[in-house]
Formats: sequence, C-alpha cells, structure tokens
Amino acid sequence: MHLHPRPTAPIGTFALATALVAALAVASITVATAAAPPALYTTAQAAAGHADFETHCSMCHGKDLQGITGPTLVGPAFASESNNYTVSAIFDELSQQMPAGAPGSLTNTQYADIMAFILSKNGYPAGDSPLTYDAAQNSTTKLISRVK
Amino acid sequence: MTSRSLRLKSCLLGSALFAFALPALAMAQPAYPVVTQSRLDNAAHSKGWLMFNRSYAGDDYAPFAQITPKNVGSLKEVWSSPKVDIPNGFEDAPVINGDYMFVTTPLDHIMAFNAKSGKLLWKYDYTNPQATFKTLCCDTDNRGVAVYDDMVFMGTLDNHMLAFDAKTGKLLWNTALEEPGIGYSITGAPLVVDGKVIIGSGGGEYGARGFIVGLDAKTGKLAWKLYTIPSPAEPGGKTWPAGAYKHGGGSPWMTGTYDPATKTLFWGVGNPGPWLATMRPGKNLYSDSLLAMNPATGKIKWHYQYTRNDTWDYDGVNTPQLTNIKYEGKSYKAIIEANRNGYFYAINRLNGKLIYAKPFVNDTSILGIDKTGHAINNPKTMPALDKQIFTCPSFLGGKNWWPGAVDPQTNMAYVPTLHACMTMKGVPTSYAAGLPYLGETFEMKPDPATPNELGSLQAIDLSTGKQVWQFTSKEPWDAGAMATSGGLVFSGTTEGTLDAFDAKTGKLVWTSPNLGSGIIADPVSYEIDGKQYIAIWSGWGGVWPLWSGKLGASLATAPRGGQLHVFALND
Repeated sequence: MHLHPRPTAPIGTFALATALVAALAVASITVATAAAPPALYTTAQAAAGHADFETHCSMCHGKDLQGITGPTLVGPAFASESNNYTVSAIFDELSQQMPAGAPGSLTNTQYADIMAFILSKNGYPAGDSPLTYDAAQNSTTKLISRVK
Repeated sequence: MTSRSLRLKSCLLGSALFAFALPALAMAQPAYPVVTQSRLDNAAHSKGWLMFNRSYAGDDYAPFAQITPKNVGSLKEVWSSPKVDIPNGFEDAPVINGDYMFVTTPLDHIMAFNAKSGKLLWKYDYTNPQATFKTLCCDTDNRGVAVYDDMVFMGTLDNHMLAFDAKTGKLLWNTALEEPGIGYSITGAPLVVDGKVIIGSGGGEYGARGFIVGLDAKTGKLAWKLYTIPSPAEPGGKTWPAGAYKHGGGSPWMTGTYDPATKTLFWGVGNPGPWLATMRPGKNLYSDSLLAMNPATGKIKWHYQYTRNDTWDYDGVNTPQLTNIKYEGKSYKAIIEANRNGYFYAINRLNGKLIYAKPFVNDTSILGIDKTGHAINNPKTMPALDKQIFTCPSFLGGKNWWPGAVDPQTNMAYVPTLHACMTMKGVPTSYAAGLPYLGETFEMKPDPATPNELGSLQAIDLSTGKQVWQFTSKEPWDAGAMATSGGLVFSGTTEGTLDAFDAKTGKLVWTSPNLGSGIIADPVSYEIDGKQYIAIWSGWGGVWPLWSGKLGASLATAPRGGQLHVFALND
C-alpha cells in the first residue's frame, strides 16, 4: 500500500543517509511514532524569504507557490515520496538556475531565506538556527512535502 | 431517444449554459467535408488550412491573391473569439476545413468555430493533473490540432493524445503516452499521414528521452514508437557515453513534414541532455538532427545532424520545409531549415546530403561547415565546469519554433529572427526525475552586432542562402510568418499588431489596430465563398518572458490573455 504523508501524522523518511539510519526510520514507523521533520531554519528567516519570494519568484510560481508558468512549489505535485528529493537537490535548482533568466543574481542569504520559506510552506517546522547557504547546499535531508 | 442523445452530448460539454444552446447549434451545424489522405496530400491547394504548417511541405504559403499590397489597407476584423482569460502564451495555428475552424488554447482547451461567422460550434476543456506543471520549461503551450476523416486530434501537456468527432466535439478516444511530472510533455500539433496520428514529446530540459509515436487514427492504438536517442545496441548508440542515452533528451517537440512522392516523414529532434556537453562526449545522435523516416513504421531512413555534441540548447526542431531549389546551377529537391544554431540550411531531401548552410545571424558558436557538410563547433565558446563563455546566438537560437514561410513566387524564405547572445557556465548536476537536468547556468545578453535590435523578419534567397531584405525590430521577432500568392507576408508583433509586408521588398504595407496582447502565434489564411480571410491569435507569453531576463524587462508587464482575430477585405 502506498503511504501518503499527512500533516497530522507525518511519516519520517528524512536523513536516510545510510542503511542503518534507514532501518531505524522503518523501526520508528512500526512503533507508530510520527517522526517530526527536522527544524532547519528560523521563523524570522522564513519571513525574510517570503518577502524575497514575492519579489523574485511569485510572478512565475504564484503567491501561494501554486505554480503559474513555473512549477508548483508546494504539496505532493512538488515533492512526493516517490520523487525522493533532498533539500540540496531543490536548493541547487534554486541557487543555480533561479530567478529564471537571471541565475545567481540574488545573495547567498536571499537564496537560503527563500529555501527556508519553501520548507515552511511544505510542513517543515522552524527552529532556533537559521539555514545557511552552505548547509542548504550540502543537506541530505529528504524534502517530501508534508502538506496536501 | 432524441432528448436522451442530446442529454448525453451535452454531458461532454463544459458548461450547463452551453448545453441549453446545443439543440439550436446542432440544427445549424454546417456539413463537414471528410478529410481523406488525398486531400491531405493536396492540402497546399485547399481553400482551407488543413494542418499546422498548411501543407505537408510545411511552407506556410497560401495560394490566395485577393488581398494584395495595394488593397491590404482596407483589411478589417470581421469576427473575433471571446477573450480567453488565460495569462499564458497562445501559440496555436487554426486549422480550417470547410466552414469549420479548430483552435486550441494554452492548458489544452479546444474550440470549433464557424470559420465564416465566428459562431462557437463546440468546445472541450481538458484538465491536466497538477504534476504536469512541474516539467514544463516554456509555458503551457498548445500549438494546435490535426484533422483526418471526420476526426480532430490534439495532444496534451500531460502526454495524452485525444481524438474528437469534428462535428460535435465528442471525445472518441484518449491515449496516454507517458506519465506527467517525470519530464515529458506534449505541446506540438500532431501530423496525420496514411491513417497514423504522429506526435513527438517534449522534455529535453528534464532528461526525458525523446520519442515520436504513430497512433492508429481510428482507435488511438500505438502503431510504432521511435526513441530519438538510440540505446547502445542500436545504430548511433555508441555516440554516447555508457548509460547516458537514458536521460539524453532529444525532444522532437515540433510538428514534422512529409513528402508523399517518396513516402518520407521528416521530423526535427531537440537538444541533448544535460545541456553541458562535457558530461556526454560524442556526437550524441540523434539530438539536434533531422530524421527522415518511414511514416508507416517509424524506421529511420537517414539523418542529418545540425549540431554535434551541442552545449548551447540548439534544438533541431524548426520546421523542415520542402521546396525545390536551384543552387550553383544544379536543381535539388530540398529541405530548408533556419536552425537554432544560426545557420540557414538547404539539405537534399532524397539523401540527407548538405546543399549549403550559411549564417543568418551573428554566430560565434559555429565556425563554419567542414568537408563532410557539418557545422564546426567553436571550442572557445563551449562552457565547462566553472568556465563561463559568451556566445551568439542565445539558447533561444537565431530562430525559435515560430514557423517561417517559403514563397515559390519570390523564391524566398521568410524567417522570424532573434538577435541575442548569452553567457553560459557549467555547474554540477545529476539526474532526478521531475527536476531540470541542465548542468549549466545561462543568461541572455544583447547581440553586440545589433545591440538595439532584438528581432527581425528577414527574407532569404533560396538560390543563394543570402539575405534579400530585413525588417528590424527593437523587440524580439517572436511570431510565425505566412506568405500569400497576393504578394504579402503576414506576421505578428510583441506589441500586439498583425503586420503585412510586401513579399518582394520587405516594405511594411499594413499594421492592424492593437489586438489587446502581444502575438507569438502563426497567422493562417483561408477562403470561403470567394472571400479570403486571415486569422491570428493574440496572447502574449511563451518562452521569451520566462527566460529572457533583463532583455525582457520592457515586456515584463505586457498585457496577457488570448483572443482569436479574423480579418477580411471591407466589402
């Protein structure tokens, strides 16, 4: 049976870097403890990212990230379990190719902030430490949208 | 029985309101002339416009002489469609058969109009699943339909082919060719040859291995499928590093052409994936190539590769137009193609040998043509990891998809041209289904040779490959061109006017009132009851506003929304 992530009871499949970790994650599912997605950014950072998103991204991806001529950036149509994306894979597209037609034209901080905003809209919680450009670039954390 | 069948029919239509109107429409329905293979073979002489590029030759040339440079000034809009409130680019070329006109809009909606009166006969609104929109590089385009027998065929962004009853809009079959959201999409108009509906896939920016299919027109069943990137066991398979063919791109996303005399289908293939050539040493067949194929089986007869080991996104999908030319004293049955790589090609269509290739824009990517008749890539302008280059033309090419026209009266090709360059730099990439697979960053720049002119419409002498006239524009020339035997060339502008040029001299002889939004579509012409009509979609969008960066700033807030406009001479 295909398991759909739900906001109320997300099934954690993050950080599957090694088979050992994978086995632990499976074990956590079997005991039905909903693994919380990791906190990778701060609330203030996501707010800053929201403002940058409105200015540089929303004309193609939509104010609610629903997608217009650019793809949706929220929900399973963006990042499903079967897509199996990492934060770094999405951040590479963001930081290398975007904004379309002017790649790399934002600052490292702006790119990290926008990534934080995208994570926040996909059910990833805020924490105490901001997401840095380097951390986003190297993050093997799975990006599987927690929202429908 | 009658009311039941009407109710069933009305279920197929989008709105309840429209259903009420159906009984009246059904009674007023014009007769539908059946489209036979013979009519398709002779489409060039039809009073209608029976396929995307008008005829199998793909020449966008209409043999109607009622409208001329002398009287074009009294051209008036005789009907228009309701405004379609979709903020994306309208790239459809209407198809006209008898009194029926079939058009499509972005997001895969199809409508049939009475071509004379503008009355809506039927419509069908297709819905694409959300995952579809993840893997569209260049807007939600639909370039139109094909007609055959009493059916109309349309491809969809989520990789389906649909067949409709031409008179009623009833959906007859719906064949899924691929899953959406992985990389594939369909934006082109199909071509029908001998009972096969032929279409190619898009997705070269997402590592989708391109394919062309032939479907049985009656049933929608797959008759053949050709992958444009061969596996290692097939001819050409060794032009790729091991395993690279699986995500090698090569999207044949535009409509092909056909030579009934030799029963040969011609189809252009797009860029290899990823964009960064250093990741896939080799010629990378059949990317950026012209394929000559058997339309009954999909088997390749021969190929000609325009750009080998491409790293600049120089798709080879621009319309391969069939025409007979004389060059240096010899006569040829030729194909001409204004390529993305900035060269204007004439190729012998019987054997795939080059006749000539000459640059039609400022070109620093291609150094010239070698002894074997192939383009020589400039190694200095090929990017690598952390090596940034500047080159011309840009990734949108000297000419993009907009169809050009070939005029046998003037012996000229009319080429909508883009004058822009770009920077490119290699970046690491790895394949992930549903994400772009490029390995390069890229940014459009003005052409130092013509910094104040992004576009032009130019006429090229088929006997020399040289420019005869050019009409330049500050904004890109972003729309198709059609020629008529009345001595005119029609094309749209980014500002939103339909313009007419004297085919011989390039003099602008008519400009329409502003049609509400910029034009990126191809005009068509047809004749009913002795009256010549010109039809064009307005509706700004497409690839330019998405990827032009700073060069597109002046059009960033251009009005959006589509509308079909039909013109004829004032009586």
